[in-house]
Amino acid sequence: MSESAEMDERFFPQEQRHKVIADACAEMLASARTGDLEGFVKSRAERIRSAATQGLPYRSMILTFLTMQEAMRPLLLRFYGSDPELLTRATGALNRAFSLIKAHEAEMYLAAKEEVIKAQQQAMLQLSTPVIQVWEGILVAPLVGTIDSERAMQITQNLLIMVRDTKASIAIIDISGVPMVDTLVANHLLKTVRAARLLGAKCLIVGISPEIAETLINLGVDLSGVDTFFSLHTGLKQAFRELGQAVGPA
Amino acid sequence: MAVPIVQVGRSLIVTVPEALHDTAAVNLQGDILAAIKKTNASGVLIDVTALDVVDSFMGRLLVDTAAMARLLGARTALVGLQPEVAMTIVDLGLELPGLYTALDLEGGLQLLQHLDTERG
Repeated sequence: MSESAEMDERFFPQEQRHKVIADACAEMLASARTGDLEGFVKSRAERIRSAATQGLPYRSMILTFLTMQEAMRPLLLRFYGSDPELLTRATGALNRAFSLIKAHEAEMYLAAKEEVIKAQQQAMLQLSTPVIQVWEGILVAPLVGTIDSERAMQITQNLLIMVRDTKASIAIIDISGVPMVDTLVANHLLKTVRAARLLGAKCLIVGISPEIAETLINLGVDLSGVDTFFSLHTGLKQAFRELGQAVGPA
Repeated sequence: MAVPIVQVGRSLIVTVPEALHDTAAVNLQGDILAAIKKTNASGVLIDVTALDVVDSFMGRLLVDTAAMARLLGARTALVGLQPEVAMTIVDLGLELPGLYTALDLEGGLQLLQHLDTERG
């Protein structure tokens, strides 16, 4: 069996096809009778959403309607076969109706897929900006990868929420996993430090390599207001030292 | 209705309501200073948990109040800033010199107490 035929079989098994189509026809007729198309559209939308999130290909999804269209042809012949003009009009109307349905469903399918992609992007963003509580009052945020303004905002937000939820007084930002630290990144970091300070938490920046140190000073970046260290180890020691003391001013 | 100012030990707690504009804000400033004088408070805690936004007007008000309080001998701490508000303040480049900050009332009271004993 070809892959597409396999998929069709998986989502639309042969022995169930009759029942699915019969049910779909019955639903359509019922709503056509009552004039309540909205209910029909809503139930279709739900089915499409779950199909799209499960990875059902669009083709398999519209297989129902394609098959229905096929199935209705002999019916049309039976009812309007004697009058060619009526038959043409009926066939045209039916085709138009199905085209509309297919177009509408395509939109809903796309929208559902886009939602999935968006959710995945959000999840990725969340995963890539973790903040860990390593001790009472101490957070560590290990940054990995490039920091653009959107990630910087996500990191700051995550950090602030953690500070608030864990009542942390020290946040250690580890930038050893950040490949490029330039003026922009440094400014993002400074903003995060300032924001955390507004919530009463002090930030330490660790993971500054000799190369980064050279770059930053050559670029004229001023990180003098922030405690910075090469190793996380030293930064952590400093954090414990500060917690041992009484609370200091902002 | 005037914003209530509560005394706890040697500190004053001021809970800023969600909408504080113009005259009400200036009145509050005056009320705080009067309260410092009356209670001989050494610390003022301004709780901004209810604020969804801190613009330059509010920022200036807070900074000025802290400076005035300082002249009377009291330190001022800001508590309860929401994460989104903090981020906006930083994005706008709003500076808040002279204001101490803490996460919540408990942290703020501790901070003010520490500053008080430090001063001796």
